[in-house]
Amino acid sequence: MSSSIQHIDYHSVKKLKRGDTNAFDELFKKYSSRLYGFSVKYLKSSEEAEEVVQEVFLYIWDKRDGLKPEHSFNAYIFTIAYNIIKKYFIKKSKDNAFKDDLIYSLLKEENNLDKTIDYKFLLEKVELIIEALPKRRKEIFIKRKYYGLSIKQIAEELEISPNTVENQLASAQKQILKELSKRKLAGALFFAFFVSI
Amino acid sequence: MDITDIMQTNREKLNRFLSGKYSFNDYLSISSYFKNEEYQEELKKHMEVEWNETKPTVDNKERLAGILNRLHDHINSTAKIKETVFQSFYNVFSKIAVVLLIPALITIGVLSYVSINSPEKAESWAEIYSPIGSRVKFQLPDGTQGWLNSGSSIKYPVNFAQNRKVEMSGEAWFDVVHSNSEEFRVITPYLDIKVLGTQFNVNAYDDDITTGVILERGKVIVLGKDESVKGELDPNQQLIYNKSTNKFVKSSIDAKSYTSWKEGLLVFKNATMAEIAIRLERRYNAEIILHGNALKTSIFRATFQDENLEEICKMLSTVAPIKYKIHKRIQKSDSTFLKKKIEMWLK
Repeated sequence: MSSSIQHIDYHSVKKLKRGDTNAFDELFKKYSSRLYGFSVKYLKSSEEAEEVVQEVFLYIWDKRDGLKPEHSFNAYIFTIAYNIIKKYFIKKSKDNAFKDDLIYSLLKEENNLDKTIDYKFLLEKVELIIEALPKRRKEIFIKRKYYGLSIKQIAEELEISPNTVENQLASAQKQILKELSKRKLAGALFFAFFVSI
Repeated sequence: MDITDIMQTNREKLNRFLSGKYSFNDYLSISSYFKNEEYQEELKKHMEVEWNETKPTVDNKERLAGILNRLHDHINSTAKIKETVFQSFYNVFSKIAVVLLIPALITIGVLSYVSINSPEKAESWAEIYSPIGSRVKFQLPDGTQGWLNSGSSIKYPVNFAQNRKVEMSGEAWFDVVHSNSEEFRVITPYLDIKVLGTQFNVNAYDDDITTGVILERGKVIVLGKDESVKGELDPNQQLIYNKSTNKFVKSSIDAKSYTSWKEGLLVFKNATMAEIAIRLERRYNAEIILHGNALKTSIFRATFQDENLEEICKMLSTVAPIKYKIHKRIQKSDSTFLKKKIEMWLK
């Protein structure tokens, strides 16, 4: 199977290597839809999958001089895609780390860690709840959890006492967890999932 | 649990994750696969199997067309200078450097030798071509230099040193090396230009109603196809031949503003929107549809350098009551794409 794919792309890749935009369009047409579907599965986001497709093909175009027509283009495109998806996945999981912590503590409390969840849905709910915090509390919470500033740094930046920062953080955490469990989100999701299939 | 069991568990987690029916613990595991070096090899192996089983779908066509559009914008706007040197085995003087701006279409910057097998008999010609959307710098065997604008080509005999003539179509700017003994001649379908040594611009696109010669420096003589003298030009003069009226008209102009395309600038001084549209179409390989005569005859002064077509439209709409619509490139059944299409109206 892979050798026939290789054979099919040989001429297009050769043309692309010389800078032929029609060959570029052909290869885009052949692989972009697969690449998009593949990326969505891992990143669970159509916007990010779109960015991956764009980045992969930009890379292919910019590095076309080094293309090797005799090698499998299918394997080449996979390797680039793998590295870019990995980059996006890691970045996203870093950005979401503090929300993940919240979801983790909530699900753990409800003993739901191994039950099926709609992670994206939960993430959105967490974001909404954070958004609804009082302005100052939200600011402190984001500085601590997202930007990873120390309590001392936040206190200096906002010209308040470290004690106030700590109190605000504790309140934020409490409020978020309360909101989440009040809505019985994880449980409700779990239930909805089984009812819907 | 031995190692195969662990791998089996990992695979199951990954499959659940991909199917969308996964637990938070599954998600945390997948995160750790991506983050930790020790899992990389296994993860990559699984993903490659998954990749080879992934089939294309039809429901994302529009999204993908949008991505391809952006990619083409990137390809067209990277004004990287790419240098290619072709060397002929046959002629000492046929060393030509072709510099392509806009590497998108490098390949087509073709230099081809025709009938090199019988050099003493039939004339051999070399051809240099500048693809649409790019500019090509060329140097002829006698040291004459010049630029080819988008979609233009020149052809010259391989024994050029004894026979300084160039056939061209499209638009070209020449800086001809002076020679007392050999005249330099530019041949277009409607007129010829005879020069000794000078800088001038020739605009002879097939689809234009006119063919024009603009002189920047020196002196040129413009000849009709019957060898009759149609005009002598001094610097900052242009001679325009109109194909439909079969008339030659001489006028004074600012030559620099017409030849700045070779520096990558698009300069318009009191140009009508209709003229601007034609030049934008050539430069960006797009189709521009102007609605209404009032718009076509509106006059603009503008200089564009590295802006892409969208940015130019935006700029035009901020200085004039113009609204515009950019259509996505449509994919044809043969998998090529139609030109980008832009419609413009007066508000």
